[in-house]
Amino acid sequence: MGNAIGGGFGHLFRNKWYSLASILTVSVCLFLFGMFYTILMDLQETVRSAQGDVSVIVFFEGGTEEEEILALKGNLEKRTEVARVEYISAEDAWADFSESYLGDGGESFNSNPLKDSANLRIYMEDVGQQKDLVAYIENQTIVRSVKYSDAAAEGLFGVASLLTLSSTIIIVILLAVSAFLISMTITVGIASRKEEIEILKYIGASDFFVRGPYVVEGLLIGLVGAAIPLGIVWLVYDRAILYIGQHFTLVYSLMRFLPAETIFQTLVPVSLGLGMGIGLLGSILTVRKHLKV
Amino acid sequence: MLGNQTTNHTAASGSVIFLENVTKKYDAADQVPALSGISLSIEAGEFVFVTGSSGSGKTTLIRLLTRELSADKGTVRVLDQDLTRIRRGRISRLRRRLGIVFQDFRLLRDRTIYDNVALAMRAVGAPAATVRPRVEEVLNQVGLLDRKTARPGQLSGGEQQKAALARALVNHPEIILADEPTGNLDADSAWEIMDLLEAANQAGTTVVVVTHNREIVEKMAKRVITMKRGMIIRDEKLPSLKER
Repeated sequence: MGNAIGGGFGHLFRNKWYSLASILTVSVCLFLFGMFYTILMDLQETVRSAQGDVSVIVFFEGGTEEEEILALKGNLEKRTEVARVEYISAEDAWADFSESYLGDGGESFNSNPLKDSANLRIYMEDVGQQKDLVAYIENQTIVRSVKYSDAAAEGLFGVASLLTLSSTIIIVILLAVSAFLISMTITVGIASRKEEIEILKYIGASDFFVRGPYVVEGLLIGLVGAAIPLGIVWLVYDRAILYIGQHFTLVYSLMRFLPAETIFQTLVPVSLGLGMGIGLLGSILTVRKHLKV
Repeated sequence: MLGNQTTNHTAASGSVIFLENVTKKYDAADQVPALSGISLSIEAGEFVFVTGSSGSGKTTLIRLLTRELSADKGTVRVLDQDLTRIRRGRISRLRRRLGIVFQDFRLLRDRTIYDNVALAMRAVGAPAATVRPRVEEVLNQVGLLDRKTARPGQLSGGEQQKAALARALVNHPEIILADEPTGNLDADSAWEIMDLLEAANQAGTTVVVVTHNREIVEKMAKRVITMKRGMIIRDEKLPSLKER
């Protein structure tokens, strides 16, 4: 283990240019990944936020008890496609209406003209499942009518699907570019390590002894290679949002930006994992070819 | 056992190296094999030269003995290990009992002479406390103790080969396999290397040297295996200059 750790640090500093090239390769790949991931998260947040504004309104048959409506509300809240459900009682509906349209004139009514207008307002978590939800609600005997917008739901569902598809395509392209850059770096690495690995094998070193320092070196390269773009994305993100706010007010008003902390909760472990994975894979591939001496 | 006659290879008992009917082709389509049905036996403590023209199969023989290559046919035994059946994990253990010396030294250019030699001990898991005294002892033995902090590029060819020999000796090998160890050296340096190999042999190590150098072979008067086109054409013990 001492050989692996000491040797790993030794390799890193002894082969400065190779180490630097490898770190930069990992950094470039993970910087692209980090930028793309951040943009994707903000776009998804924007769509999610827009989805939250899409509501399904449920009206009930005359004479439906409040307990029955609240029971249905409870059932709806348990569904995964539902973000939240608001209950608007007949009294709330009338108070809201009279305040908006009648002003003080509303007080002249002795009874509630909207006594059958108690409703549930459902905000969606996933608009793609709105049709199923509406079908479920319409099957309830206490329900008189359901109001919803197919166009809004389908439009947002389309944007979400497009985002998923484009993110998949971009990730595949990024992986292909990364694989190419990494294979180029490994080719250089193989040329410079061939003799060293062969000598170690001739003097009776086990595969573990030979591989150990390279594994540690790969992990270190991956770790540093991931930390650099994470630092850059961290520094740039808040400033970029500020810049967009100042110079692109329309975009700023349409978009929802997640706080950097939220994005980094996932981006940090994923980037470090990817970086170390790439470094480890590169090292193993470099060494494996020459272990058969 | 040798005299001036061809050696008998029928038994492996007492041999540290034993080959029987060994054939090796680098490519199945090759018309002439690199080695063609060779048999030989080398006893513990012997000093043996393997000689012959380029392409005669000398280096292939050494590469079979280090298990860098495996034979297509026949038996190869080194230190009681059957190399035609040895598991991959045991090859490194076998090599720890060998000291291998190359014509081009194969030293790590970015490390000091001390580190090059010490690496051989660390690679076999020698206790840390034993590394420094043993490395300094063997560097002193080859006359390089005062150059231990130098890098290979700062040394002459002869000094580099001494360092490579120190690396081969540091783990007390049972056999030294040297492939053209004097091939890149001037005459004086070549004799210094041969003297060191002779000293190792006197201390009990079996030494096998592949060489083109007829002068060294003639003067040292050891057992000489001569190869041609992948076959052993002569296996004899040369008489000493006095005996001649």
